[in-house]
Amino acid sequence: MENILEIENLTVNFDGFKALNNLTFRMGKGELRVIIGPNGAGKTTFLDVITGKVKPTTGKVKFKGKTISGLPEHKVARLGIGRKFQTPRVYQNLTVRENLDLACNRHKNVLPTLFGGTKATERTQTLSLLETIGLTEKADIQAAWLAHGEKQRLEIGMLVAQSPDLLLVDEPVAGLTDEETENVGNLLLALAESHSLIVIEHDMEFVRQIARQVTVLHQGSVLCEGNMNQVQNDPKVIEVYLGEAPTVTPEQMNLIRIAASMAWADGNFAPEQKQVILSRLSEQFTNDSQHQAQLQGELENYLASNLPLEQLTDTLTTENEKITALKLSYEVIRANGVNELESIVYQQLLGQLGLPLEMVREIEAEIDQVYGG
Amino acid sequence: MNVGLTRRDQRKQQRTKLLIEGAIILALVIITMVILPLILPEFRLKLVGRFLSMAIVALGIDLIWGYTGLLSLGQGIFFALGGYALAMHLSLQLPDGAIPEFFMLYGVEKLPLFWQPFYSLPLTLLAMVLVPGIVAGILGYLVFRNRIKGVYFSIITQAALLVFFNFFNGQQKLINGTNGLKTDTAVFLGQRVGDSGIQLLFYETTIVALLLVYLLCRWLTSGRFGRMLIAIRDDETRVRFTGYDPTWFKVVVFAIAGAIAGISGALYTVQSGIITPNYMEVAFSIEMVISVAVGGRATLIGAIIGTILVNFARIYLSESFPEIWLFFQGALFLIVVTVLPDGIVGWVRDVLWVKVARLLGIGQPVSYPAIADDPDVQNIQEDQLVTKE
Repeated sequence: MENILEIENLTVNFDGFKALNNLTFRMGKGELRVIIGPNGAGKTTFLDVITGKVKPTTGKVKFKGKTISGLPEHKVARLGIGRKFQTPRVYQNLTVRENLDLACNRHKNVLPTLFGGTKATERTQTLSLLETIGLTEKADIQAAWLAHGEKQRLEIGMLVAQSPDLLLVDEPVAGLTDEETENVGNLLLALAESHSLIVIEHDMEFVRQIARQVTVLHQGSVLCEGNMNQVQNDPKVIEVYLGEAPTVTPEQMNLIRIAASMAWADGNFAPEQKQVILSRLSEQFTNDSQHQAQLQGELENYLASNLPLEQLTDTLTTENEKITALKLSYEVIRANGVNELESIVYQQLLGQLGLPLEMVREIEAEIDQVYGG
Repeated sequence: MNVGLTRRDQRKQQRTKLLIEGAIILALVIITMVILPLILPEFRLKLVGRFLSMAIVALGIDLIWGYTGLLSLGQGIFFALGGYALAMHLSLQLPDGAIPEFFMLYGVEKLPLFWQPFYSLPLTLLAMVLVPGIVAGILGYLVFRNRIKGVYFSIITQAALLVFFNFFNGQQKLINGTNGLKTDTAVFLGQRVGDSGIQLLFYETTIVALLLVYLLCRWLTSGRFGRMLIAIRDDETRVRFTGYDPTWFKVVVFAIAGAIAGISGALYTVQSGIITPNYMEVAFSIEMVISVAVGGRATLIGAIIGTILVNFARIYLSESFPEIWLFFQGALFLIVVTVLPDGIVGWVRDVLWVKVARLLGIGQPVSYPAIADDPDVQNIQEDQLVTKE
């Protein structure tokens, strides 16, 4: 696949602080890439360098095979890179239509802007864009009057009006409601069909909605790359986000997550359930009692997230792993009495694991005995 | 959807508006050009002429400040450059071989080289516009290229003003320093410049110039270029990332405002009888800015109205209570900033007109469409109907 963006050994040095450190990044044409990373990882600087706002200290940025590092912002924009800012940035005192009209102007030097009027093709483009972003009714209203979500849509419309090949989107759902978040997600997915897209985001729920390929930045370099699951189970990533390296393996991590989603099934993570998971797992992973205590603290961090079950069970391969997962899950829901919601999720799990029925019954009976079922 | 219909209506409305505007302008031009000279005594007419020439520089300030958001406190530079250009031409209306008298005082016997072009009237008229325009363009380019904006831009323009002020004050041998150049006694078109016939000519020229500059500004601010200026004022970063280079737009508009200030300064000079470096005093340039704020930023007519009102107030107050004017000027500035941020025209348009229109029951104020017309709301209502059924 042809690369639309290639970045090689890029370093940005702000008076001794390396905001980006020897970063190398490649992205194929038509790809939708999500970039995550803790605060200060260099995500925004990364966009600043691509768009020409910040000049790299060393290294190169190539767009469609052409070196663009060092060009000023407006030249980068003219080559076909559009950028959406975190807060909507539109021209408040112009109408919606005028906002779009300025963006779709094909000749952006002073004289053509002064002497060339709006062409018929540009006028029709503006009309169809108004339709796309759903602001036809409000076309002749000043942008200052629009609601927050409408401004976000207008700004995305202005980006599209520039006809860019690559869109850079910085935290598009910060401060939006769940419903708006999903709308923006769908809009981005629709855009991804005809554009290459880089999205920076903090909201992991949203990342899961749209992400195919994820890049994790940390301290100005690429920490790891892969699909959502690989990234989430990568020990380096977990260390970066939680501040300490996990002592469990990715497989064990998966087990924890399956158990946690069982416990979350009824929307209520009971303390008994947590206790079961923590003690069983720490016993299982190590024999050293001191390590067990330490593990309990660590595992507690991982239990907070609630992931879709199918993603997790997909990664279980051997029968042994499946049996362990089943045992743990059943024990978790038994711990405070099985209720209806929990049993539904449990049935789903059984279906996905696909273990022989006798074996399941045997294991259940074993655990029932312990809890005096 | 009735988009096509509303667009035709809009065009019709626009045409009516343009017609009304044209009629008002024509009426004002006739009043100032024909009626005022008949009814006002010579001295008062001269005052009106000076105010109207100040209104020209105000239009330029409105262009860069009201529309583009560049608050220049140094328009006096360009104003004075235009004034000096014309004054130099008038000083050279002498018998062959003679040079202006003041040169003798400082022992200069040969006319400095840069005075030579000012023998010719066409070159002088060109220099009157081009010199301030080019100086503004160069200053603007240096400042805007380095992305200096906001209050830093204002400070730099004021500093530049002081530099020019001190320079002109110190150059006795070049342009007679502090004493400036007198134009009243010069002979122009066979008459003394101070005489009433020539003064009437300058008065009428001022009105024509004001009209032409108004039309130029009107054209500049109405199309895509005008929207671009507003866009730069609202969000310059967005402008860059949309593919425009705001530097050149700002340089061009700043140079145009400089050229306009030059025309204004020349007309003001000949109607005052003298130009001195005092035209580049800090307070004078600030007064120009205040006039625009009083009238209403980003409304061209406001710049003109504001200038005329502030100048009349100054004349009236300094005639009756000479010491009070500066206090009044300060108070005026405070009032405009705190109570009338959009100036008189803004207040009339946003507050008074809305009230009057409501009283008379005419014209709908432009606002957010009624909630019931919102497509989202209509969809929700339809959904509710469906669920009820």
